[in-house]
Amino acid sequence: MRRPPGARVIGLFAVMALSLSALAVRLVLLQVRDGATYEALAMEQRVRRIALPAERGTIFDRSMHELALSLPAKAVFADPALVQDPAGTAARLAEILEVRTGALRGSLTAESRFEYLARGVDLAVANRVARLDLPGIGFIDEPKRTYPGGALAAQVLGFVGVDGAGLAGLELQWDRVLAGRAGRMLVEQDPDGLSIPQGRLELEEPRRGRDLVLTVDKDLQYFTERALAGAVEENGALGGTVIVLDPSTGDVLAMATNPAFDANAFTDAPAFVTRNRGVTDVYEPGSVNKVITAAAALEEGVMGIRERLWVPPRYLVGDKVFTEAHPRPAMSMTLTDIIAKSSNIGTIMTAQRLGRERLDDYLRDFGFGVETGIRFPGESDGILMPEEEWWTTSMGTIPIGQGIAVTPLQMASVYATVANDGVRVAPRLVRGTVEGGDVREQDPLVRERVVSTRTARLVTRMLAEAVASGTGQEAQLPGYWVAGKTGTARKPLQDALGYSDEYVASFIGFAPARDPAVVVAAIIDEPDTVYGGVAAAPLFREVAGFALAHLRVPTAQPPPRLPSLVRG
Amino acid sequence: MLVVGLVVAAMLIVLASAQAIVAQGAFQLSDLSDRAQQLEAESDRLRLRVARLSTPDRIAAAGRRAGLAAPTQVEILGDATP
Repeated sequence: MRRPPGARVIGLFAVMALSLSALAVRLVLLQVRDGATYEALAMEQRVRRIALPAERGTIFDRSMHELALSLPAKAVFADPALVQDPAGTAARLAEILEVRTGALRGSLTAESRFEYLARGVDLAVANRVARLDLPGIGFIDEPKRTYPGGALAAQVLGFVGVDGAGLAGLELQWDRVLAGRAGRMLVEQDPDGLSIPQGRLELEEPRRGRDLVLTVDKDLQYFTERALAGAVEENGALGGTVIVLDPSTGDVLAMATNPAFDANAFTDAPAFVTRNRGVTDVYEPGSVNKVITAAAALEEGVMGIRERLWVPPRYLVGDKVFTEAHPRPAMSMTLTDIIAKSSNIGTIMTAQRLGRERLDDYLRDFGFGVETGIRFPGESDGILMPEEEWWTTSMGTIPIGQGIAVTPLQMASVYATVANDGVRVAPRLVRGTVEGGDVREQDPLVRERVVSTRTARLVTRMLAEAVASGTGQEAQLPGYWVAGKTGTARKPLQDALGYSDEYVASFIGFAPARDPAVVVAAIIDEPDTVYGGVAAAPLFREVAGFALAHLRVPTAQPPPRLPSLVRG
Repeated sequence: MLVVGLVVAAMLIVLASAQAIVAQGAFQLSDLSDRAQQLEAESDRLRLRVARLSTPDRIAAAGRRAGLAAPTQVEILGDATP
């Protein structure tokens, strides 16, 4: 038997030793030098970082009925690099997701690693897609905002975008409160997506957004919207706004804007329709503004309740001659007659006794030229020029509500101040947030006296006379003592000085006048008829009548009329 | 030697069994988690359904279909005491 030569054995041993050394070196390189890198790569493959979106808070009406809520939903996405059959995949998904096949095919062949195919997809639909087990198709949790009432209070609520951020209305104003804070989860999973037992798990729980409770009453809101839509149609108008306030708390019980839109499909609505125009848009108020002149004159003592003015049919202020809406001869009028009959000239003469500085002060004290404090995105301050910049004719126009611009809410707030015995309370749309099951109340930003209780009650009786025997008779409600004022104002030209031939008709009032429960501002944009009493007062009557019954306000007989009003 | 072998084998069997039990528990946990999610989704779906059924628009339409009409005049009676 031949033995291998010693040199061969040594050679073989050397080769083995070298091989083992190479393996050892490689092992050291892998385990020691590059160990951390490979460990990180392995973790990268196994560990999934899952974003846990926070559920957005619910928005309730004042009786805790849901007006906006968030539901679990999925975003469906594609990684085009992993999609094997773009045309076939697009065809199968198009039917389920209700997206055009062409659009899907474009996304599935895009030069990227991430393309959204559909967002806000219901879980049932997402499950149907998941069962297809299509390569390159994935899902992300993405709660979907839903408005069960559709168009109900849509301009007030606003809406959120696909990424869940508030874009308009209260959804925008209260976004930080409603949104909450997203969480995340780290979990080790196998290639099939199953969690690896005893694998690494880190969990940071999402913090749900807080719920919001509004002052709005959904039944009253619905009725108001329906009544407004009917009035707009009946009067052949462009649109309108109705605001219902509780004068003692400033609570907005209803705030309707027409035309309306469905908040669930806000992308289909023109931008102007989505604005809450009672807060964001201004108009020249016209005769409803006369109430400020009357209140200021009484408060300052420049005009007594029984005092009579000799009011001519025409009156010159600066270089402009002012007349009445309905021609009449010169006559003697009390301040109550001036308000009840909506006399332009009587109001201007009263304002002149007051003087421009004091008139300006009262306009501002009643809330003109500044935000109301309702805290709503895009709220307008209105337009009230500084007194030193007034025109020579301003003492003719401003007392009768022309040459200034206010929001419907500002004007409603003036009447709420009178109804609340002269104390202005900032209107509020949000009653509070829900914390620990209780509502944490949000106090109104402003609560301040503007005129005395006596003045407010005298003005109330003047406004009641306007309804009982003056221009606002269409606003009378059986069983309730109603106080209010009509207003008709020409709309200014859009791109030039002067006025168009279009009008805004309004009626603003409150009831019951002795202890007001509601203030209703009814404003109709460009009705067929130019008079507020004809166009807007019936709308006021309809909404106020429903509101009083809904709030269970007992009917009662009105008190006797002011003695000074009895013709002698 | 045999005893040591048997002990080691027994320990291996116990360890494998424990791993299997843990794995089974993880799968059960995953199933229960899925079930909880399904129930939560169902609860949300029902919540939305209740909210939709409670909208004044739907109730008014249902009332009209049932032949109901809103009263033309309502009188609210107050407290009889002066």
